[in-house]
Amino acid sequence: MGTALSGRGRRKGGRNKIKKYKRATWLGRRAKDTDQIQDEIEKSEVTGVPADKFEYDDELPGGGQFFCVETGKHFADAKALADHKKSRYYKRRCKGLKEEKYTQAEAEKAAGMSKEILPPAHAK
Amino acid sequence: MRIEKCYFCSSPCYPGHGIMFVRNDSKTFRFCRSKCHRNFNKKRNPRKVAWTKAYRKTRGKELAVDSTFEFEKRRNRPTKYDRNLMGKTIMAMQRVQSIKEAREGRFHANRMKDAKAEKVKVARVEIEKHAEVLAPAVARREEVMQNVLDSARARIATRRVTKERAVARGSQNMEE
Repeated sequence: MGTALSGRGRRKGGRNKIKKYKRATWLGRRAKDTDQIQDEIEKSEVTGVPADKFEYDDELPGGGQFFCVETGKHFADAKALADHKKSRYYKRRCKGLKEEKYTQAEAEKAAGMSKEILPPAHAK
Repeated sequence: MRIEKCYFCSSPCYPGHGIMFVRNDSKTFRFCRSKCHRNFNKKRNPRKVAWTKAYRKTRGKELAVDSTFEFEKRRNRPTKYDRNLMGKTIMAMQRVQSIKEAREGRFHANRMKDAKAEKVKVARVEIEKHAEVLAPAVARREEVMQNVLDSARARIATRRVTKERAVARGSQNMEE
């Protein structure tokens, strides 16, 4: 185990499943959550600043000039970005983003708990 | 000490249980158990996972709108301790809980009222839809039924024979 996949296609089995889970949930390069992206899109709509504009950065793929807001990914060139926007992953993500944001408040509401709203203690 | 609600399944997170995740934008997420944490890590939407409260309430599987839900609140302003108030509150909590349980029970009974008839209806539709799967069995219905009856008769007969033999053996032993 632990060797690179040598062009034999996908590996099956429980160990591989665990490895996939670990890699996907590794905090070092954690993908953005749906609510974070929704926040970004909202913010760009309010301020009018496009969310996919980055200053040129050598560290990022394509210098950070080809960014997909919906999936939070950088691409090497315009073609790669266009291809990505045709992909199933991108379309599925767009569909998910259209839904209402899930928050802790909703979790609490589902548990039958709400927030107490009082007049301010120190009125201005 | 506050008993928080799980971000994923909305159940209470008691002290010493579960885990809290602090995202790099300093937003905190509490999970009651590793099951909820793992499902969050997989970026699942709690509204689409059938065992969460959010799913059940949005689909109308549980009582969602009721006046008994007006009591449990996140109260950020502390109240000065008052023995009488404390006693009254505890009494009220028990009363509210009993009312809530009764209402939830009624809601469930009401929801399940037509469930059986509905199930039969769905099964019938399914059979009609996939009639061709059943067709060979239906065509040979008489034959199949006869086979079933024959094998059942044979089984009963063998059972009777073995029983008689056992009885005979038992009586022999007695005689010896």
